[in-house]
Order: sequence, then structure tokens, then C-alpha cells
Amino acid sequence: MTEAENRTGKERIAAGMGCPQKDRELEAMERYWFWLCSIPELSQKVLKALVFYFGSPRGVWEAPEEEFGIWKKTGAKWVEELLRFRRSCGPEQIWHSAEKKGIKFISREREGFPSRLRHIPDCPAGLFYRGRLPGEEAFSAAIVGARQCSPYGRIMARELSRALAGAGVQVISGLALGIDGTAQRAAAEAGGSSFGVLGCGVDQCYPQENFPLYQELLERGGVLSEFPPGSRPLPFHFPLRNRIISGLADAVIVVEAREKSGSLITADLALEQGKDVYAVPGRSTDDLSRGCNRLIAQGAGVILTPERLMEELKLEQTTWEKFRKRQLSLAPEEELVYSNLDLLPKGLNEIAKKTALPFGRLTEILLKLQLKGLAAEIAKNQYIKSER
Amino acid sequence: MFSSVISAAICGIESRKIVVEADVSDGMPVFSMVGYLASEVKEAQDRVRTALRNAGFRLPVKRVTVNLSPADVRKAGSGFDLPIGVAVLAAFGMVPREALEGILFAGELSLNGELNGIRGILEMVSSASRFGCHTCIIPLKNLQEGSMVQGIRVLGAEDIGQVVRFLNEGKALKQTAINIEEIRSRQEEARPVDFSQVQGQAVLRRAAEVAVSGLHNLLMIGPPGAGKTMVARRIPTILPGTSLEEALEISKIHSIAGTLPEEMGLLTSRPFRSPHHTVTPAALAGGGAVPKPGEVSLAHRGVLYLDELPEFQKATLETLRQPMEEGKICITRNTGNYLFPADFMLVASMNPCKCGYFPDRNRCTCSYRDVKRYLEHISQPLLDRIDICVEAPPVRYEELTMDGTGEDSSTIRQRVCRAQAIQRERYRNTRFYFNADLDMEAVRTFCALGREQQRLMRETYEKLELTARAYCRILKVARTIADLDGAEQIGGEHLSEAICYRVLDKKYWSGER
Repeated sequence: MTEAENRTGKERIAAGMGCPQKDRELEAMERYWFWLCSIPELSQKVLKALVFYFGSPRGVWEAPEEEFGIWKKTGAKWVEELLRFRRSCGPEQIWHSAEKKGIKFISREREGFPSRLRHIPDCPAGLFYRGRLPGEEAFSAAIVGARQCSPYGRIMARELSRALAGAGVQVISGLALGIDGTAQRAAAEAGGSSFGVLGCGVDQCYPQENFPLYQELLERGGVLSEFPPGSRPLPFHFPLRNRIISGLADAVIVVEAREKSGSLITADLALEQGKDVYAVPGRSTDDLSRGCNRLIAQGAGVILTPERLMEELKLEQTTWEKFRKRQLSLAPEEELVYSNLDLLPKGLNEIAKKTALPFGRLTEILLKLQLKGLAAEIAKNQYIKSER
Repeated sequence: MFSSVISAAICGIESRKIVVEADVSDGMPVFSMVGYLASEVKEAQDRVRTALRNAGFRLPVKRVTVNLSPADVRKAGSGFDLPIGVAVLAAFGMVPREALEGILFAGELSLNGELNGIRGILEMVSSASRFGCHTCIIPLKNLQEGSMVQGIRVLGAEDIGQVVRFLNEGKALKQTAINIEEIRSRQEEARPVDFSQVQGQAVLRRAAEVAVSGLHNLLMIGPPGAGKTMVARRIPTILPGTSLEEALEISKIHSIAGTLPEEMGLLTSRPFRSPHHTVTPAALAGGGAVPKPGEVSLAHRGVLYLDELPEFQKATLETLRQPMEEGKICITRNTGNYLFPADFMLVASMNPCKCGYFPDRNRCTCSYRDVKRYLEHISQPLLDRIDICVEAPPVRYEELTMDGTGEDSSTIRQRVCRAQAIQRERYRNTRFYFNADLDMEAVRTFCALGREQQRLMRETYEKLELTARAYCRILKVARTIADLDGAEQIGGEHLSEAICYRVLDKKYWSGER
């Protein structure tokens, strides 16, 4: 133990007595929090127990190894891991290396920690982040849903997110494939801010496919995680990070979810945390809509249109309205084909049969609709109505 | 005494003149054979000796030496038994040597002296006059096939005794007259498949018709059981009938590969080959020390159908590049280079994803990554050579039970013939035959667009993010659709139909936008 560190120990006692050095004290303590939160695979429960036992994160760093004896006796695996980590790197070292990588940290103790999150049960002791943290003033909504979503879910997520972001709402989600990524991409496109809560360290992008989005979020908002940099996206991380998604949001919107899915976990957590839950209804036979429909049956808000949601959340829709308004003037045959399209993909054969148009003419109209942005080909000769 | 007999060996798709020489001299009773022989030719000595004895010829105890020249050409195949037998008999003076002048012999001997059919007769007989022969003596089983060649006497013998009697006493051997029209109509009648058996699938039928009209390669995407293979099997039936030259060309390849039906002697219908996806590159391209024609050559002037395209090995599919570009395949072995014709229409099919139901999310459980990985199995260069790609949706109950049948093959074929006639007229004096053959330069000349169509194409190009290659292919297909319509100019309707058939960019295939 060096002398300098000993001195700060004394100051700590002074801080407890409420002297003006408190701020600087907290600042210094931040590094110890950072260090403690960086211990790989240390659960929040254990972390809290350690802080309680040793008085502060600094206490955990400074305590002689023998003091961990009582935990060793219980046979807990994390003790060895912790001691090994403690021997390999200290708070200063780890703080500087993170700083170099542009990774920031905030502990629960400090001002600036998202207040929405502070009040949830099982709040993480600290958050690692890149970019910035969600603002306190602006309304924030989480949009979550299935990874393997249908075109219907994709379009709904995009529309909702665009509407919300246009009204200045911060869109929170998990940066996953499918609904999450689509919603965040749409929010970024609409010029809003969006935040991704990761199930791995913030220094990596999982899934890889969303790397462009990850980069965009660094500009337009941020990515954050309770897991230390370098953590891998382990399966059990994801249910944990879901509580942060719902915790950061004022309202949680579920777009498409199977029964027993991560999105439903998020919705359940949101209810526990006392947040509003909304769900997009779907056909009762669709696997992907079962979860949402069940939420609605249990009393979740029903999202009929983005407009209605905006009203319900009492949000201004000025920016978005302009975006939305479009004059539709279609020729009768175009109207016929357009009305036959749906958010569910339809094959060329089927459309040909329903409209009874000659084949050449039909392809011409479909092409025109695509050029107008009213239809899209989502797989070979599979068309959907496209809302642009 | 010395004697020599003319025969032929198949090298690749061509035949070479082989002179079989025999010499009898005093010495130990040894039968020795030389001349770079494959093992089936080395074995001929036992067959010949036994067959001659069983046919009633007593060979004096002498030393027999047989040489097959030229000595540097590898001789394979079982067709040398008869010429060796005749040469040996002539060397013993049992057959007059003068009688062998200008006669080509080919055939396999059975131990009792009977003659068995061999492969490649059609090619040997048609080269015979080039070898300076006026007569061919071949096994009776190959007579039908050999007689297809005009301008040469073709005789069929049942056993070696008949051959010797013909040479000694001039006792006539069997000859046959061929009526090609009759063979053609017999094969036409025997054809078991017709487009009228396909229920529903209007889009797929139309796409097949367009593809055949311009000889574009076709890719069908659809879930299992949609009838992709059914349609593919019927594509040869809407291709225009073969000319006599084409029929001979096709039959020669199949004769060499041993897949020619014996009783017909000539294949007048277009071949349909569908190798299983476990096929090796050598089996597809042609392989062996002296290569035999592979699937690409057997599909020459017909259809090569690759079911479950992504399941094929990448290396296997890569071998298709040369034949698809040049209509032939060149195989190099240490015995030389062999050129096989391989001018086929490629028809391929695949599922939209591993489980086959994408984008129906209630049935498909693949993640977008799975779909992407599945699509990545197909190499881009191969996709670049496919002009038409179309969806094959599952057949619905109403379509299945619909009264009445769809159009039959001959009605469709008439339209196809008309469209191809227009192309022949247009490409007279150029190096092209069909719309599919056009290159970028020719597309500009032959597929010119009007102002209105140019605007549509420009807008589409930008909006759907097409590539230059896709643009070129769309114009070629639009040209074919216009030809089917009998239209001079490519109209907006033709263009949009062609755009509908374009091969989707891989990044959009997976639906992730």
C-alpha cells in the first residue's frame, strides 16, 4: 500500500462527514467503482454484498486477501476469479486503458446516472457507455420485438419509430436483428436519437450485421451496457440487459413477439418497474403475434396506428405529420393491384389470379408501384405494400 | 504371314483410324499383343482365341503377334475383338487378305463367337469414309445405329462365322434401310411428359416459355413440392424439334457414353439431364484417362437441370462456366486435349431458404443469417449467366382440382418456333443465334429502347439499384418477350415483365432491407 493511497483513505472518512471535498471524493471513488464493475462475470448481487462488507469499492481493492477467506469457504467460484483479476490489474490502469478506447463509465452514486434506471429494483451499480446517455428531459420509449420478424413487423416498427423519433422521443432498444435494429435504424434516419443496450461489452458490436447501425448510434445517441468491456454476448446476459431497456424507457412498445420470448421478458420487467406497455396486435394464428396479443389480453395498450399512439402518449406530431402526408393518385388498375397488396408477402401468381390482369400488364403496374415506393419485392416475386 | 485390318478408336468425341496388324510365324505358341493397350483390349486375346475355336476355326500352333497402330494412341474399349480376330484369321490364310481392303471392322466377341454391341458406333461409321473405307462390318445389335450414316455400306453380322463366310464366299450380311421420319414420330409418341399435365403455375409456365424462346438460362425459386422439377422435365418438349444434323450430333455423344437406346439408333428428341447434387466435377464435365462425355455434354442441344442448386459443391458449379460461355468444354489429360460439345440450356431450381418456406414466417424458422448463408452457396459468376429467375409458388387446391388442362407442349412450341424464327432472321450475318447470346455491344444495337422506355428503365435502374450486368440481361429478356409478342420495338410491358424476371441481388434476397 502506498502512502498516497493511505491518505485518500483518511479523506474518505472526512467525506462521510459531509465536507466540501465530497465531489472530488466521489470522482476518485468512480475509478474504484469502474474497477469493481469491470470484474468479469461478477453478478450484481455479489457486487452489492462486497460493497456492503468492505464499506466501499475501494475497500474491496485494498482489503488483504485473507479477508476473502469467508467467501472462499462457501466455495463460491467468483472469489478466485476476483482475486486473479485483482492481482492482474488495478483501478488506475484499467481506467486509463478504457479512456483510450473512448469508453466512459458512470456509477449509480453519481449525478448524471439515468434517474429512470436508478429507481428500478436490481439497478446496476454502474453503466459503461460510448456516445452519450439518454437525456432526462425527453420522453423515451423502448421498441422491442422478435429477431426473425415478418415484413409486417418490420414495417410497423419502422413506422412507429419514425413517428416517435420525429416527435423528439428517444428510442431505446437492444441493437438486435429484426425489430430492434429496424426501429433504431428508422429513428436514426428520421433524425432522432436512439440508444442501444447491449448484452456484451460496449467495445464490440453484436450482432456483426448491425455494425453500421452501431456506428450511427455513436453519433446519434449511444450504446450502453452493464457488462464490462470485453464481455462476450453470453446467452444469460440478454434477459439481464432487458431490464435496463425497460428501465431506461417511459413506455415499452412490443411489436412482434412469440410466446416465451425475450421481448415478453422485457414487457414483464416493464410492468414490474411500473412502466406503460403497448403492443402491436396481429393475427391470432401468427406465431409471431401470439406474445403481443397475449399482452393486449392482459391489459397492455393497443397500438392501432402511429397517430393514435402519439395521441395517447400526448406527444406533438408536427415534424412527423409533414413527413407522412402524401397525395395518393393512382390509376384504376394501379389502385386494383395496390389494394390487393398487403403487409404479408404475396406471390406473383396469387396477385395475377386476384386481379385477373394480363400478365404483362400486371408486371408493368407492379413496377410502377415499386417505383412510386408503394410496393416492395422482399423475396423473389414476393411483393408487399410498402409505406414510405 | 502378315495381315492388316482397319478399325477405329474413340478419343473424346472423335474417332481415330487404328490399323490392326497380325503376324504369324514359327515358334512357341504365344499370342502377344502390343500397341499401348488398355486392359480391356489386352484381355481381347483370350476372347478372340476362344471365340475362334468355338466358331470352328482350328488355329495351327504358331506364334501370333498383334499390333495396333499408331502405337502412341491409347486404345480403349471392347470394339477391337472383331478386327483382331479377322486379322489373325487372315494372317493364317483362312480369309483372303484382298477381301479386307476398305472394310472397317468393329465389335466385341463373345466366347461362343457371337458379336456383342459396342459404344461409339455412330461416330466410327461416320468417320469410316474419311479412313478410306467403303464398307463397315459391325455387330447386328448396332446395325440400326450405324445405318443412320448415309453414303457408306453398313453391314451387320451376328457372329464371326458370318463375317468369315462373307469375306470368303460373299454370302450377304444383313443391311437395313432407315426411315428417320418414322423414328421421329415413334419417339414423339413415346414421350411421356407434356406441359398440359402442369396444373396452375401460370407465371412459371410463362417464364419457361420466354426462357426457351431466347434460350435464356432459367432459375426457379420455390418451396418443396411446388412442381419445379415437373416443369423442368417438360422444358425439352417445348424446345423446337431437332434437325437431322442435330439429332446425329446428340446421338453420337450418347452412343459414345453408352446411353443411346439400342432399338432406336437415333435420338431425335432433345436430351434432359438432371444429375444429382452429389455429382463430382469430373462426372459433370467429363472424366477418365481418356475422357468420356460428362453430363454437360450429354445435355448438348437439350436441357441440363440442376435441382437444389445450393447443395452442389462450389467446385462442381465452377466447371459450368466454360461450357455456358462457349458451348463446349475442353478437357486436358496427359494423353492430349479433348474437346466436347456442351451447348445446353441451364435450368436450375432452389428453395428460398434451408427449410424452404421463407418468407412465410409462420412456417420458416430460419434466421436472416441462415437465409444469407444458404444463398451464399451459389457462386456469383454462375448467377451472372442466368437471365431469368422466377418464383415457383406452392400449388393451391383450386388449381390442383381445376377442370380442363393447361396448354399442351405443341401449342407452346409453335409460339417458341415463331419467336426463334424472328431471331434467326435478325441475327443473319452476325455471330449470334439467340437473344441470350448477345453481348453488351450487341444489346445496344439490337435492344434499342424508345424514349418512353428509356425513361422507365432509367428510373428502375436507380430505384431498384440495378447493376450494369442486370441491365444488360433485362434488355435481352425484354427483346425475347417482344419477339414472342411479334413486336418490332421493345414496349414498356415487355420491359417490366423482364424486370420481374431479373435475378435479385443477393443482399435483397434475404429480405433484409
